[in-house]
Amino acid sequence: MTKKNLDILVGFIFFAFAGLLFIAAGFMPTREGGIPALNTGFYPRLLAIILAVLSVLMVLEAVRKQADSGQVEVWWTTKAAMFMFAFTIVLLVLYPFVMKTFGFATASLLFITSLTWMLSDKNNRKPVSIIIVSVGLTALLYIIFKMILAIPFPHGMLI
Amino acid sequence: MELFSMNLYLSGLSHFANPFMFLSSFLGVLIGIIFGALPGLTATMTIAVFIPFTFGMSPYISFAFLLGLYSGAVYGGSISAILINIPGTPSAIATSLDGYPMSKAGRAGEAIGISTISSTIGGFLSVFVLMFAAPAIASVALKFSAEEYVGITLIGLSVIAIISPGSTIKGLIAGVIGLIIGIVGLDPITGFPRFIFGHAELLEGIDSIPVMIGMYGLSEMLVQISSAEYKVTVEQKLTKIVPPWKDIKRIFGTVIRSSFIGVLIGALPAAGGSIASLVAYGQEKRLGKNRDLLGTGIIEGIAAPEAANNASTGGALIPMLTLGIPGDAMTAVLMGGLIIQGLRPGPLLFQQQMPFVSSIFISLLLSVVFMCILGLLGARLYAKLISFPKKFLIPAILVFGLVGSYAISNSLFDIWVLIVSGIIGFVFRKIGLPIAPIILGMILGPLFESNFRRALMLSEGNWATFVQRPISLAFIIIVILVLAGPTLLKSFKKTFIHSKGV
Repeated sequence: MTKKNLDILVGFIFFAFAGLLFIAAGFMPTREGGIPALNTGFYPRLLAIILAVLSVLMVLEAVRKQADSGQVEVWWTTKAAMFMFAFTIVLLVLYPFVMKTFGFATASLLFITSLTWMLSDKNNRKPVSIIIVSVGLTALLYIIFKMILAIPFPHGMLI
Repeated sequence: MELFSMNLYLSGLSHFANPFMFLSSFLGVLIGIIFGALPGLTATMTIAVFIPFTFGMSPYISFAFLLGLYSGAVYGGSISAILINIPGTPSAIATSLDGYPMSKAGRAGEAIGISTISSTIGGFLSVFVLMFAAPAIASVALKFSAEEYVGITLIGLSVIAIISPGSTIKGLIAGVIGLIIGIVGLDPITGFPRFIFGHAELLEGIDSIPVMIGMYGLSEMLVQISSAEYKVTVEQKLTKIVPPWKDIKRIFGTVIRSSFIGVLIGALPAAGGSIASLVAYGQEKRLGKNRDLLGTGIIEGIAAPEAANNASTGGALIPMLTLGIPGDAMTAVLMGGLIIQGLRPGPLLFQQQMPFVSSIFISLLLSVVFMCILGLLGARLYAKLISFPKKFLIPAILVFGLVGSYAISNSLFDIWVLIVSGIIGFVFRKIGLPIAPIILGMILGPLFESNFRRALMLSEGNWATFVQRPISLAFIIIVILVLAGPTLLKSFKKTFIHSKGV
């Protein structure tokens, strides 16, 4: 896809979003008469209109652009990078669950160790240094957040 | 007024006979720089999480520490902005525009040195302005009403839209998206919950700190992972940290100009270091001698925002101390620290607690001195902290973001806010939408909305109220000039050159 086409597409998506926001704001309580600014839906509607105007301008700006605006930058350079990206998202999503069940130190240690392991070059993985750094970082987190700042983390089965 | 007596400056000195004042200021600055430099730990959060430490201390020692954190963290944010293109604090957003290119060219040490010197000069100037002009500036700001606040917010948003990379329209769209995020939560006027989707956590709105960590920290890490950049470890050798005299001379004008911008903007309620640094950068883009090179990695691009954001520290304290209106999120948290000590900021504080106000001036001055020393001496240490291999750095930053987001209000919900913002930030980066306007819109949104609607209510729905007040009208004209200025200037130049050619 060219940059021009992407801009046009994004412009349309924002326009649609503005439309949704405008409609949703219509369901908010409204009093007939009086000053419109007092109504709950007034401000969201105003922003929806501004966004709609801006997205139309964005589409127009893109249409006026030269056709040879170049290709869109790739989202993932390689298949492996795409896999790493997905893996990271999965780890992030799992983190709060692990934290709730096992405790924040365990969750952090598992997170750091597994991500560092995956990010290390396959032929040059040094398990010892990965473990030392992971444990060290977790200890630092524990000292700062648990011991010094005394943040009340969820009580998990472990620490 | 009697507020101008010498007592205001000298009565706090006796408290500095206590060596703990120096120790606590020193520690505050050191911790502030380190936390400010670590991505994902904002200056606001640093101050917030350390406030509980100051419960038991005397207000004098407590504020020597907190003001140290404040100055240190605002300065520290520039270190990560320069080294890894992630502003450690929002007020360092503009610093990364030239800081990171310099760093990529192997001039990271120089960039940090320039940042330190500019921050120091900006900091000093701001303390003096705070000391001598506080009553005067406060009396001007006292006349501001809702219309003027609306104007200030619009100036901030339009400036950030102009200076963000990419087209101005995209910048404005991002700003509006930020304002839309700010809608979530209770309506400030009617109290009706908006877009909370059944989550009680959203009643008070989306917490801006997880969104900031997500959009800057997390999405940046995702971009690096998705482009397999982590395989290349960027080793920065910091050389020549203390800038040569000719560089200082070169940036001197920029620094002084930006410092005054910083103090003035910092002194406006709700317009803090982030706006100050962006406006100063924008100003440099307009007036600077090397404006065409801005963004490619030149020292003026670091000097302008850094002088301004540290200059805004003293400025932001003006409305907080004299009126009880915090200049930005950081001073809002600092105000919390004051209230914990049983001190109410406002004009009465100057009359009844003069020695304390005096010690605030001196503490702030002291923290600038420590900041300069620790900045120049410790740069290599802070760089080490954030320049260890990416395969370790990425997980470490992500986990700091996760734990930090949780720690702000001890809520798992904020972790979800972080993850969602991170993914949205990633998508926005890929489609070329700037992030900074979103954040600014989100932070200023609620205040903007209540002022905007209050103004319309008081004028009984008459929109002309925004142009009928002279200061408000001036602000609106500034907004129009900022947005239309570049286009007008271009067409003016074209006509001029054309007619000259004929």
